[in-house]
Amino acid sequence: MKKSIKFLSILCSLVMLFSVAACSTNNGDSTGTGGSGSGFKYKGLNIMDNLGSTTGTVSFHVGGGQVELQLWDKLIAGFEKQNPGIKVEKVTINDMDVLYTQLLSGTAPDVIQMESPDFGSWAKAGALQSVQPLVERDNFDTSDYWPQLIKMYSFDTQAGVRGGGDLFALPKDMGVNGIFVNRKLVNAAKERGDLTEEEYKLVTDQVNPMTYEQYLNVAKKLTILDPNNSEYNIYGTNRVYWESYVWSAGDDILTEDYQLNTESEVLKEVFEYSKAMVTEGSEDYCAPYTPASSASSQDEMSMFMTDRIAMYWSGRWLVPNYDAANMDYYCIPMPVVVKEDGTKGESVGWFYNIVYGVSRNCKNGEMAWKLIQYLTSLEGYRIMNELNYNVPGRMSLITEEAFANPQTNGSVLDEASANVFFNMAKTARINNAARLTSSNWIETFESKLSLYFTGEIASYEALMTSVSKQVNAAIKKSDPQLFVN
Amino acid sequence: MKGSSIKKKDYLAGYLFIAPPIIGFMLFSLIPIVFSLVLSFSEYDFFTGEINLIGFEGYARAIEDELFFKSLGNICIALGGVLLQIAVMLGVALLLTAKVKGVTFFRALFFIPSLCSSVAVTLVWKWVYNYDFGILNGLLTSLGLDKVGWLIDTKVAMISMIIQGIWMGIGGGMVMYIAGLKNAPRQYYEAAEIDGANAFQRFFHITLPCVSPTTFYILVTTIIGTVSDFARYKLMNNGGPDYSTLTPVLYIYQTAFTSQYGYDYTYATAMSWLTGLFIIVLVAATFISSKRWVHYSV
Repeated sequence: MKKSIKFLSILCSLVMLFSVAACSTNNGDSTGTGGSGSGFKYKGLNIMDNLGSTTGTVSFHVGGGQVELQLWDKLIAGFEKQNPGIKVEKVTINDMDVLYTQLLSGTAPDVIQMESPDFGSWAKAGALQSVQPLVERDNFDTSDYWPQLIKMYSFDTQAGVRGGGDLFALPKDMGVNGIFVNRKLVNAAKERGDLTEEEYKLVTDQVNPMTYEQYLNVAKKLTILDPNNSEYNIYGTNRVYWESYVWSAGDDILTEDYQLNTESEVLKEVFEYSKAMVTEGSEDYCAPYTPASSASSQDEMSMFMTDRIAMYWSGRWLVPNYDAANMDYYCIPMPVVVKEDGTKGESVGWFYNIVYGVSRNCKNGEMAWKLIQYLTSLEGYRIMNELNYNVPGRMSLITEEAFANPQTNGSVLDEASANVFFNMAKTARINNAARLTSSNWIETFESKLSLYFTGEIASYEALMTSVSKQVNAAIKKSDPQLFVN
Repeated sequence: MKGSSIKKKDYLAGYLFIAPPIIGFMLFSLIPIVFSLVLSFSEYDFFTGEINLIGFEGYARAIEDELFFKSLGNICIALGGVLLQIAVMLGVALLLTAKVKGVTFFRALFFIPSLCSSVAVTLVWKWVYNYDFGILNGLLTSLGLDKVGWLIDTKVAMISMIIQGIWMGIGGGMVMYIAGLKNAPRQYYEAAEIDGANAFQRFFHITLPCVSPTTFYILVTTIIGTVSDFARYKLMNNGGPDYSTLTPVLYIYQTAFTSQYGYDYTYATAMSWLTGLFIIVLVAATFISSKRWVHYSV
């Protein structure tokens, strides 16, 4: 007992010590001040100070399964052949949290791969070194990369916001979405007479997108529900990406001054449209309800692959999974909104991809830059394309046979389907989760949206009222620089 | 003089023997614990090494953080399930100490879930709970009942987690209870029977006190296990729907290691210490209360 009291006394003393120290050292200015008056002080390093030698060893972060790891070996061999004085040390890391811990401890590989949502917070924290000085020194031409990617992997070190300023990373790929259609289910529906000739034409048209109204109608026709035995249920679609609908209508979830767009009629329209699709007993019921999360998307993918969902909204990067399962599928573009004036909006989805960047602790900037250039070169993308994984990061490649027709690489994805994704890449916008420094604002929104879909929040108005304060606060907290005049 | 030298050598040998675990503990537990305590009172920039001591700001933020409180509330619900879990363990152990044919087979059957990886088991349960194609809803609809949103209804999701937790956790406790029940002195039961005590009276006045040390051990370890449970919550629903299965440990992970909360390490350490304190309070309360209900010399 006496010992416990002694321990508690020591603990309390320590706590007091820190409190007193806090009073003496905390000046209340944790972010520092920048020259632009944004309250942001960039603490990153200048890669020109860390160029190091042009020969030697450069470490490279790789990840993925066995097949992907073999491709990295192939890429590294290609790079080493072109650069005989450089050896690449492969460092396998599959978790972003592990990578970030390495960045914090200064032990990360020289060249790292990161996912879209991580880029913003990592660039802002100074965990990466910008390649902009090298782009300028070498007159490196970035015009062949998808322009959205170049924009979104740039970070303004003065203003402290992403989407402009210095280039920090180059893309491994362009991860876009489309609608995968289970050919077996569609053909069966036609044979049963559930789909008319006209509807069949719509669902097999890989060039002209359906309108959302037509899409709903087709999805309903493809749906078979047995109230007494859900084992035999087939859904026409999974839940549509509401972002696509909103963007197609020319609107957005955020206003221009980064507030939740509570006045948007389009948002109301799409949420009501989506809710009707997932609500049992509704006239438009044709999609299973799964909350928006990675865990749920795996459930949906399993349902699509086991003939339980006919039209599946998902990413181009899932093609190897469908190929491995010997699925018979094709792809169609996302639907379009018919606006009030009768014109059609564009077919638009989002992108989510992986990019190559230089870690803060890299002292081999020159070699790292060479490696990134090679990985994102035409040759680099050609080697990577053996996986049939994604749309390449460079636009000029999409006309090459191996990219235009993935069947030459052994994929089920036909030429017309591949073209669907090229077209989707042209209009794709960054995923909401990666749009700002942190994804908390959209996670908060999706969380409440799930209650609207399950009926726990009764109306659109109640949804917006319940969530707007939290969403706006989350944006302000993660990106206060956006609100500086 | 000689004796003293031998004594010193003995001490030295002793210290050398205990050095590996002590050094390991210092390196991998004590130093990180102290460092995390320092972090919790500061804003630390790992890249520049700048440390800005902020006192209790992180703790004050946690106390004002609705999500952190929600996660604590959720774990309290999960802790409610601990009592149910212990009751089920004891119930199963009682059944499996009966002299019936095939009892060994049933013991093995109940123990198997405890041996399985929680990741694998959780992935299976995700499908058991699936709204559209899950076996549970299939059963309900075949009985003419409505489907339940096991993982999509905020009012049900935590209950689903508790059910799965009970299923997974029965085995270990059951084995300990079986051992405890076998050690219960037979003469007490014989005397009680002679005195005319019925089965309920024998259970409450003999069995429960006899296994109370086992119950105490299981209670403490299950409380700690429940609060620090991570993999199941991460995999099953990642804290959803609408944070109804968000636990403190999951929230700490999301804060420190994901872009959702901007990799906020220092705030995560403050929440970790509060969660640690929460566990200490619970365990201390259990220890204090144990004087009333744990009987070591029945």
